Amino acid sequence: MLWLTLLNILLFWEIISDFMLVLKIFAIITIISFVLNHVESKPLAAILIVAISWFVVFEWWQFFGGIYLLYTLITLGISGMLVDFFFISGMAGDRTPQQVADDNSPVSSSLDLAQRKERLEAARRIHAMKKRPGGMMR
Amino acid sequence: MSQRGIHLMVLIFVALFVLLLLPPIIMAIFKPADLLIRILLTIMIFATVRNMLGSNALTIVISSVLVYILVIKYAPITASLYIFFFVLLAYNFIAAVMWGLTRLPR
Repeated sequence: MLWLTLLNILLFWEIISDFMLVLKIFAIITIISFVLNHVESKPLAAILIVAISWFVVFEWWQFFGGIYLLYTLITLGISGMLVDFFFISGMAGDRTPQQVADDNSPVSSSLDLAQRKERLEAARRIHAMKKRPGGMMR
Repeated sequence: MSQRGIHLMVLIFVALFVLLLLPPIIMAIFKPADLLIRILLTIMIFATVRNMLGSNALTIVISSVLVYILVIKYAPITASLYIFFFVLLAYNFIAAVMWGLTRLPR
């Protein structure tokens, strides 16, 4: 069983190193594309590509690897997903889905309207009580 | 955060994990889907590299390396990430999933 665990760990590291290589290739492609789009002169572009690739991919990869991964994820729209995630999970208060559905449903009768007004009034009273320094009701 | 918020967070994590697991499972069950996804991934990789480098020999070399690693060696992982990021996230389906989970009765 121990050798199986070790094999799994080795395979995991192999996957990580392979995907690191893919990330490095994509980083180099991005650098080449960026330089070719911004520099007209071919020899200067070649020198810049070699210099930036050496600096980013081979010298400071621990730093730029994380930044490049973050840049890629943001480009793909991960920030929108995070906003949705924290907004929706943060919005989920203690109200039950039945209460939310009740408030969103159209008014069906005068009794329903009276109950809604009563609930709203109660909520206002509680809110006013919380805002007052002493927390006392009049 | 309230108890319900934490419960919802866990639900969203589980839903996203299931969405990540779906493509490899489908690829394992239906072989035509496996082939189709591999072809799609190959085309996507080649198009991405050609778009950035232009049509030359370097494009073919880099595409070949990427296709070997991503499509031949780790197809299930790549398919999972591709479907998640380029299909579901790009078309904002994840937001619909999260919104749907808030409407679940508890």
